[in-house]
Amino acid sequence: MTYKMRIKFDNREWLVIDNIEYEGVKYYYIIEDISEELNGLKSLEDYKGKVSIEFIYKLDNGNYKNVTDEALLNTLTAIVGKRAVLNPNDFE
Amino acid sequence: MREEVIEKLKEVLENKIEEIKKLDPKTLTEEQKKNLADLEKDKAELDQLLEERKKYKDQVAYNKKNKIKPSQKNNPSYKLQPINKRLEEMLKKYDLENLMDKEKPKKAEKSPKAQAKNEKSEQKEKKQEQPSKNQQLADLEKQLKESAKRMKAYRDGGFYAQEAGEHSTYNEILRKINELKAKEAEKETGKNEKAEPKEKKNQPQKVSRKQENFKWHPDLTQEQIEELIAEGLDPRDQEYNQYLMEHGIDPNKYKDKEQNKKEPIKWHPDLTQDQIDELMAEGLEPGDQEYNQYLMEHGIDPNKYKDKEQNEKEPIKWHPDLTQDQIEELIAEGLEPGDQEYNQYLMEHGIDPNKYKDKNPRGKEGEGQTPPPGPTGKEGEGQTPPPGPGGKEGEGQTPNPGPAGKEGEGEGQNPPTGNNKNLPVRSFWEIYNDTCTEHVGSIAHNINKLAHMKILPAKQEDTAHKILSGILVLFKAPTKLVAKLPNAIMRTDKKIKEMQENIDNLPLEEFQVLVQSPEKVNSMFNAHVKDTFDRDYLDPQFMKQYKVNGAYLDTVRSRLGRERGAAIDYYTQQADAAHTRMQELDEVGKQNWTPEQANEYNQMVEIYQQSVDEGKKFQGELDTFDEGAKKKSSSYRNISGWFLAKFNPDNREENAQMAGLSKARREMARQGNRTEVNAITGQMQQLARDNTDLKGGQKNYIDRGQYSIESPVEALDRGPQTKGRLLLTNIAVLSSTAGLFKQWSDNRINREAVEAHNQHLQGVNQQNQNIQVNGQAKVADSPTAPQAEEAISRQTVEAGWNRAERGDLDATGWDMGNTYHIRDAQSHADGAQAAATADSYLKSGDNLGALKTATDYYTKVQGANRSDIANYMSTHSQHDYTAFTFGDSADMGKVYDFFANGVVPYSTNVNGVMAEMMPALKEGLDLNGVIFAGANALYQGQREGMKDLRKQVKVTPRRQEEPEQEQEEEQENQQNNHEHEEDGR
Repeated sequence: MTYKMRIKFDNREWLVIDNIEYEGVKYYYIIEDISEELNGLKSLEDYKGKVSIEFIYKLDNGNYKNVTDEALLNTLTAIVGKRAVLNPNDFE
Repeated sequence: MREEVIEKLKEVLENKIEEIKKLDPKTLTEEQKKNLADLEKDKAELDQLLEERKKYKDQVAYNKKNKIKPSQKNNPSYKLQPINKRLEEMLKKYDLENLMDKEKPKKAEKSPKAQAKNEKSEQKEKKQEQPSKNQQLADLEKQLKESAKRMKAYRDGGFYAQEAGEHSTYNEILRKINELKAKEAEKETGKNEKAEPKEKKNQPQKVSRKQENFKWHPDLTQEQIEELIAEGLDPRDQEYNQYLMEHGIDPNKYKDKEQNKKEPIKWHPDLTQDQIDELMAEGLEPGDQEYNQYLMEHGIDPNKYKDKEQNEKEPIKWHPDLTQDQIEELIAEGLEPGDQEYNQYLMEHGIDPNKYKDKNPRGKEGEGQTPPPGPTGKEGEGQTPPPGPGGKEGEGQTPNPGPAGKEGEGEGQNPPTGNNKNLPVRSFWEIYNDTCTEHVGSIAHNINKLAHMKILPAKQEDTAHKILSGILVLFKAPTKLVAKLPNAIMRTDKKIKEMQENIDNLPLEEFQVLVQSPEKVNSMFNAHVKDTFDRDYLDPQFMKQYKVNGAYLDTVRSRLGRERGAAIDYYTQQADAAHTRMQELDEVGKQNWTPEQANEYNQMVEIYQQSVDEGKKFQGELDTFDEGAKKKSSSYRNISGWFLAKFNPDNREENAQMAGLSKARREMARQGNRTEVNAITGQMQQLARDNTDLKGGQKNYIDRGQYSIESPVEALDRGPQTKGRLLLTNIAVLSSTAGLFKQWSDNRINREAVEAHNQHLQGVNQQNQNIQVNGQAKVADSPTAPQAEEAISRQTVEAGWNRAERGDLDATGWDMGNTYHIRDAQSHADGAQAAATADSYLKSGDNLGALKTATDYYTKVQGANRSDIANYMSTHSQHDYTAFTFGDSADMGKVYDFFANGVVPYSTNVNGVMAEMMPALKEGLDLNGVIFAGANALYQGQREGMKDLRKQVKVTPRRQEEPEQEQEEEQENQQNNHEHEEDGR
């Protein structure tokens, strides 16, 4: 299982894990690329910091914006989660 | 000797001189003049002594600083001795020795070494032949006797407080004597062991010191050695070194360097070299009480490095398999090896407590050992291993291997009490549920338990299992973080505050349960408190499983201290007041007392004694509590279990549920029903999560949509797939699957709730289309019933009166020999009687009673078997003799029954009322509103149904018809009379 691409958003680097279309809007499921901090760890439990996960979508002005609405976030998370469980290949 | 004491002496001398000088010199007596001269002489001597003392002290300091070792002749320390001695004499002369003693009480009393030193000087002066120790012992025994005498005197005089003080002095002296004797015995034994070969052990051991072959310090002169022997000192005595130092000899000069390294004096690190020199000059060193006093006087904390040293000395031996995080958690919880919870913690984390402890366990194979997590053995909490080839079923979680184990009966979980020896293997939750301490201290413990619940391994490949496993990895990480914040999650502070309030508000008698032993409580309540409170917690045996926590004890002690402290203050004041009065009367003198004063004195003595006794009793309670608290004696403080169960600050019910699920899961595992095991595991996890308040738990680990960000996106090169990126991808996927599960779970629960709600609403709305209620209302419940009863009764009564009036018994023409006349008169009299009775009922407000009387009478009349009346009524059927009609059939019995037991039908339509509720119902289920609306509609319907009871009882007053009827009756009477007359004729 791997990421689709790497992007720069909000002056930070992110890994694009998945993209989905929901109610006519395309969302990208991204996670902040803090891989350098994790490279040296034995396991994830050793990581004491935080990691940001976002869903972003394109605005009319060409910029991208993250989803902050809790309900929409839950829905989108569930959609990508379902894809991961039922068809892991979609994540490839 | 302290500077303050000398200053005080100087001040006393100056004051005394000043006092005499103030007087007129001419009036001075010879004695005063002599005193003045003596004082001035002493003052001059004191000044000189102080000057010399200062000089020699400076020399001591200088020598030490420059490491100069003067000869004995020139040693300033040696020269200081006579000066100090003279100063002491002067202090004694001016009654300041108490001050000196007061300044150095502990030195005199508590340091045997210092005491020995002082006595040594005394012995030196007196040149006593007896060894100093014996003298010391004799002195102490003498002091002991004196103390005993004083105690008796205090007791006889009723001065119990003083007696108590003296008692401690007595104990102190006794302790010193014992110490001294023990020291002597030890010394003798040591001496013998050292001096005598083993085979000579049983021989008499009276070996004089002189004969012993001691290694005297090479710098000592023969004269000094003899002096030391005369004093009973040898190189093994501490005083020996002091002697050496006093004589300018370095005790360690020729000592082996390694030996010095082994046992150097560990001076407090904060001491300066000057201070160390000063201490050495005083002969003080670590371990002496005066040493600590010195430190404190110089602002140094004696215990500053003590704990550290102790820790360094005895490091805690943590289990080698524990991670640093786990050790930190254990430290935070205050658990360490040796605690039972420590072993529990290990087992919960899959660590065998005995792994490195005992390589050859005495138990049978597989017993008492936590098996390594096998492919099927990790489910749930990992405490229920499958029956393996070596281990027997259910023995895997035995923490303390017993000597023998039976199949299926793990003994390791047995508490040390040994009372539950043959309990079956239980999971953590079952044990926890049974031994749940129920106090706030367990909250942190609880949250840690929840946070460290073993997760389900992803061995099963079914999807649900996979999801669960994935979630729990995430679940575990944030909970590990939040587990460190029990206060934030479980609101420990709040619970402690609640506990304090609860304890403060506890009624006195219940508070007694908290602070007294069960026996005392039983005695106070004159019953078994266990029965009274219906709590097993009060069984001391059971309660051994309960621990007492500090916050609880502090809280209880706070109230106890407040209440008992107030009582102690009160009795102290009483005792003081009584004592003061006794002193005043003493000053008056017993011989001068009036009888009242003598009486008063006796009363004061009594009050004093009582007050002291009471005060002691309360103080005793505090002491007992403190003693128990110090020991954390759960058997004594068993009430904490009762208390905590009473206020239930923990989620005991949830623990019980968890225990039940755990037991069920174990059973399913035993049966090999994996599906059910998984289902129960899910329930347990859900229960744990529901009660762990993990709101935002994930956000402790993962930030998601926290802040609104708008930014352009720039594509970067893909970059290598590093371990970190792989982990990140996994986090993202697991997070989404967790989200899926959460949403599914939430949705399922929500969906069920919403569905139930909708169904209910639909049902309500459907019925709401036309809610027609047909019912019956009890007439007696109608507020208008009494009025109707009254009206009908009254009419009946009036009719009775009418009938009676019509039978004018006084009128002429009545032939009482005529049967008809007799019966007629009787009939009228009955009517009058019934009317009178009913009237009396009406007057007393018993309308129904009046109605009963009236209707009974008329029913009797109507159904009378007196043939003539019946005949008459049948003959004259045109008349309505009842005067009433009830519906179509006139029946007075029915009239009464209608009011007494009758119901009226009603019907109502509640559409209108329910319609008002619709907006509220649309917003959500408002059960109260529905009930209100329904009740209101029914009330309105009943009210309508019983609107006019009077109308339903069609009463036709006869009064309106009476004139006509009377005319008819008169005509009939006249006719009858005429007929009778004719018959008579």
